[in-house]
Amino acid sequence: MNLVLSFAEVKESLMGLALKLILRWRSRPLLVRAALRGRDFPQPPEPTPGRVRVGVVQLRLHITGDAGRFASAMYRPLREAVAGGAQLVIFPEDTGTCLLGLLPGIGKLAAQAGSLDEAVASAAGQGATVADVFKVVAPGARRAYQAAFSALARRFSVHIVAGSIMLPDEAGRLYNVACLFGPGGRIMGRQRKTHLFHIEQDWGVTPGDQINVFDTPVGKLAFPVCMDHTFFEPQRIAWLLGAEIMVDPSANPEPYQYWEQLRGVWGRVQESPAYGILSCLVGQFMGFTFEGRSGVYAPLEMTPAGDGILAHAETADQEEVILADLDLEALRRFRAEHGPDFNLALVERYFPEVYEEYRPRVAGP
Amino acid sequence: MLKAAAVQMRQGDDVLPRLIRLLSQATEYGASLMALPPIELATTTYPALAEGHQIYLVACGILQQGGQRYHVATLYGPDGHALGRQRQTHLSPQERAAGLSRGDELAVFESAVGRLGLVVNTDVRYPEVARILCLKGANVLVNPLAARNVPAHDWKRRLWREVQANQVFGLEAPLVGDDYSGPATIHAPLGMTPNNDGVLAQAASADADEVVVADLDFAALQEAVDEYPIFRVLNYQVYRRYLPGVYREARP
Repeated sequence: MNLVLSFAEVKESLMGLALKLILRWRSRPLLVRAALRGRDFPQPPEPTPGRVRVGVVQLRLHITGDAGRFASAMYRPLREAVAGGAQLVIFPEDTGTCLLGLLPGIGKLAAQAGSLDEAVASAAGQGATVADVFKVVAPGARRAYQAAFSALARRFSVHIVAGSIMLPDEAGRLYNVACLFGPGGRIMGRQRKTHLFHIEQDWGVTPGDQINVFDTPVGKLAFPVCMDHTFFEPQRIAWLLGAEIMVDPSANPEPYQYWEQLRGVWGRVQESPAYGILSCLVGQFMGFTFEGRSGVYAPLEMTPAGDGILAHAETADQEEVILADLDLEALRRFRAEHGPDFNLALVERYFPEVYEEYRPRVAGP
Repeated sequence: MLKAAAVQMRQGDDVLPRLIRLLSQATEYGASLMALPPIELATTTYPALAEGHQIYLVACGILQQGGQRYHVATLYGPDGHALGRQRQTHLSPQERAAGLSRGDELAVFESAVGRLGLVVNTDVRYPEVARILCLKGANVLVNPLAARNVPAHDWKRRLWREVQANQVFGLEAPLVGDDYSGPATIHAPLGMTPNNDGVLAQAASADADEVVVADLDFAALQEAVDEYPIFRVLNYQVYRRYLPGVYREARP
């Protein structure tokens, strides 16, 4: 074993140590406490069985250099939602991505480079992947994200689906993970994104392999992430596992278009009768322009205009908070009357083997 | 270029002459495939119609098979032969009350007018059906439909939804009038349609007999899929973990 380290190795390990210290310093929970000191925390009404008021945050991301600023940025729309009576508040996908700002100089680089990929290449050199950068920042980002949302959930006594954050597992595989915080400040549940956007595939993110449902005082929740709602399977599985509220934390780096958005959670809750909540990221971030019109959806028959919409953001590109009341008893009555009435023999004949049959071939006849 | 037609029709008198008029219209437009709604017409009539108009026909009705009654869609070739039959696999409460049975097999029919998957009536409300058909290679879904007393936006959660979810063509042929819900529509993935709304052609009237015709450009379909290949994102690990067991142990 060679115990003599080269100069380059010493330099690299010192830089690694320096970076660890910077991340620890910038993500320390004390900053969250300081940022929230002296602010007011309206309290939501106690949950009543079968009824829940939800708040949906349509959010613009800003690169954020420390845990305190992150908590302040999330406090503002959360306060508005809770002051409006929300007992469950939904944030969009990728909230944790703000915390790339914990890395020294990344904000400036991103502004100059125009895209995350370019910023990564110039910061970490060619060959480094975006996944590598998320892994480097993860210890700090995890701590800041948890400290902020935990404190906010506790102080407001509210359930929060806190958007998502890129986090590695012990084996170093990177996942896009959405987290549910309970009013005690604890993480009540996690959902790894199972269907990845092509950009995430390119970045080296790994898809999750589980669909989770969480029985909470504000309803039985599932929160597959963004692209998961393009496919009927995650929601069907969640529905069969008992979910009544399908949450979609979303970040779509494309211009808003009515019909494109209709392909997501709106359609899913028509297939698998449930409430659907879409929370969209908006604005420019890391070279992307995000758009989307947040909404609260239900089966057509359960909405006043018969259009499947209980509440809708007014814009697709501005920050907004929207509110809606969900009547879970009415949903249960609707399900008892309208089914669905599955065909067990059919799904047992084809699932899961039929998924192996697919070959990417369309052309014909 | 293949031209396909989708028909909407009222029930009632004179079904046959009205159908023949629509068939003639479709063939004038050059259609070589036509989807019909589940009208009340003797199934023995269809072979002659298909042969007489030299067209592929998808028709739907109630058939007695092995002592049970099913909603069945049939594909007839231009020679009048039945090339394939598809039993409905899911029942509405009304169909169940009427004593209908359901099948549990799905087949894709290879033909000169595409690889057809027949989504029979109520089956359009179960995404399992279109998914299985498209995984088995279907590139045109045909949905004969009788949907009564449904909300105005219902069509957006029927074949429109399945076509977007599976990136194929769709022919929707509904009964109309008497509170049946149309319109007849030819669907394609959003990016292939002029208004980016997934509609290649759609009937103008809500409750009158009408036929709509559109080109099915399979090369363009391939491009649309290559541009946005959603099936590459399918997550086998998740499906293997939960399907079909989760249906057996449903907890809602």
